[in-house]
Amino acid sequence: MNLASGRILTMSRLSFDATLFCLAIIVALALPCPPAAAQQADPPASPTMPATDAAPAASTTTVTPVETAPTVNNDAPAGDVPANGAAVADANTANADGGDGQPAFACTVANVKRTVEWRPTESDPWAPVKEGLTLPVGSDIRTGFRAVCSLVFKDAASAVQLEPLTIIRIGEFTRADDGRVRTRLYLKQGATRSVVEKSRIESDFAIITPEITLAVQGTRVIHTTHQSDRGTRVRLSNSGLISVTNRLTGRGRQLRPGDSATGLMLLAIENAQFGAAVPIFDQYGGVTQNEQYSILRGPQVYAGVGTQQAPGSTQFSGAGGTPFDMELFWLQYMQYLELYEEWINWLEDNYPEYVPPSGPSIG
Amino acid sequence: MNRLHSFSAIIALAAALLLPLAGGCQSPPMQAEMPATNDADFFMNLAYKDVATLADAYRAVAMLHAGDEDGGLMAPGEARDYLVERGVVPASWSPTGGAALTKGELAYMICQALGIKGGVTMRVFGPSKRYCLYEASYQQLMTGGSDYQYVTGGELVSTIDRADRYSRRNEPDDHFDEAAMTAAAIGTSDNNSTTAAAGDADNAEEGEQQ
Repeated sequence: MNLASGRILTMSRLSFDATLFCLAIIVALALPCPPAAAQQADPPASPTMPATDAAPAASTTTVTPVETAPTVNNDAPAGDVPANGAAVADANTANADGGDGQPAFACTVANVKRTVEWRPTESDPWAPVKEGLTLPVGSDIRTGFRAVCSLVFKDAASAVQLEPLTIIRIGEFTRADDGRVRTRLYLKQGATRSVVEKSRIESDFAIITPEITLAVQGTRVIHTTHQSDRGTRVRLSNSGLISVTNRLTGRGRQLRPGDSATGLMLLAIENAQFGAAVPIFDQYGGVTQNEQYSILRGPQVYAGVGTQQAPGSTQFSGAGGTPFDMELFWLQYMQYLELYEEWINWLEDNYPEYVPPSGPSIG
Repeated sequence: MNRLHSFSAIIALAAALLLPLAGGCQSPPMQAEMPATNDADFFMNLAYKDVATLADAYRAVAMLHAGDEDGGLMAPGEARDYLVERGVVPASWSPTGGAALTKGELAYMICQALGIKGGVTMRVFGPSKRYCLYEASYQQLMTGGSDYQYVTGGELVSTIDRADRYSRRNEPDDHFDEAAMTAAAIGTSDNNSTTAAAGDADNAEEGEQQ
């Protein structure tokens, strides 16, 4: 290599290094970084709940009463009232007047500890809550550090205790034509413990968090918690059955006493002790009610993703193809047996010399 | 030439790594402090903040550490002094607390406030922000992540809530009476607005209010 080519080679290397250096600067400047923003001046005095916290349309909620509705006393007058004398809102109108133009009152406050505040609407200032105070529909309630309060609803069926650091809104409290009282609570932050009893007034009670809709009826002590970093967790303590539905995915599940679930509809095993390795198989985890019904109809097949086989399954698999329907198989088989018996009878009637085959029958 | 080439490559790589720190990435946009009238107002405002500040953590953790002592909501400076006196916050930490709160800082304060000593590593090398975050995550007080990640207002509220439950885990749950709640729900009491433990005076007051 002569001196000229060496110089050329050196120049090319320097230019390459310079190009590399420039490219590195360009890439560094193009890296996404949060821009420095001026601090907000004049913050709002009281933040309002975001629009996403508004009540979802009725069609998007999948509330399913999981227990037989209590017998409604049809002989009761249409304007039947609970024992405390406050009238339930009239039918067909949300937030109906209580009769004198005042907003319908939904519940009464009890057991107030420490700082608990409320406001009728978003534009009203916050005021302290006192025991015995009646709250109208649309009220926001917030609790402070280690503060609790109870809300006793005027449907003679439900009561909710608000845990500390909770923000909740009484979304609905109406009475439909069929006499059912519809109650909706919007839980923005914090935890609640609910008691919903069967009473002579049919109650449609649900708690709505940013993730799920929790429908309860005839149930005791439902623990509902929503935290912004962990999502929603629901637990049923004592008795009853609740239906939990994730509004985003449409998937839901039912919880029995002792069960708890997250917003992902995953059951949580809180306490378990095994003497040996136990394969934990949540057969019905994360499936819709229709899928669960299909699985129950065909217990030998798991009609889901993958080739999992339910306990007691045989050679059939749910991966691809048509799931095996045991009930349909037996139905068709019984129909075949009936046809066979009818044919044998017809032969005996029309051909007396016919001798039916001996030995064990097909069935 | 090879040395020159290598040196240039190193310079280019260093520029690519250090240039963002020079002026590219900035702190997250901070919201101005909102005046809070009481703890309920403070925590509700905090739940809507995109990024919590160190001052928010001072006030929240001070309330957590005080517990049932009716100290109420403290100012940021007062809360910091309270925590420094009790060894929850080192004296070297920012007195104004205007910077964004990180997971490590929050975990450190939580562990110190609750007296969580941690495992062998924490006990031998002392509580650092990273190990405190590991311990807080293990105790299910905080979600996982890196100690330098910022904390949202909602996460701070949720963490304080879980930390308070943790601090009272050995205490009986005496503020929830299922029987009384059930009785109140179905209206077995005279006015359907108070629990069975309420006296006649409350019933009379309820009648007057209605």
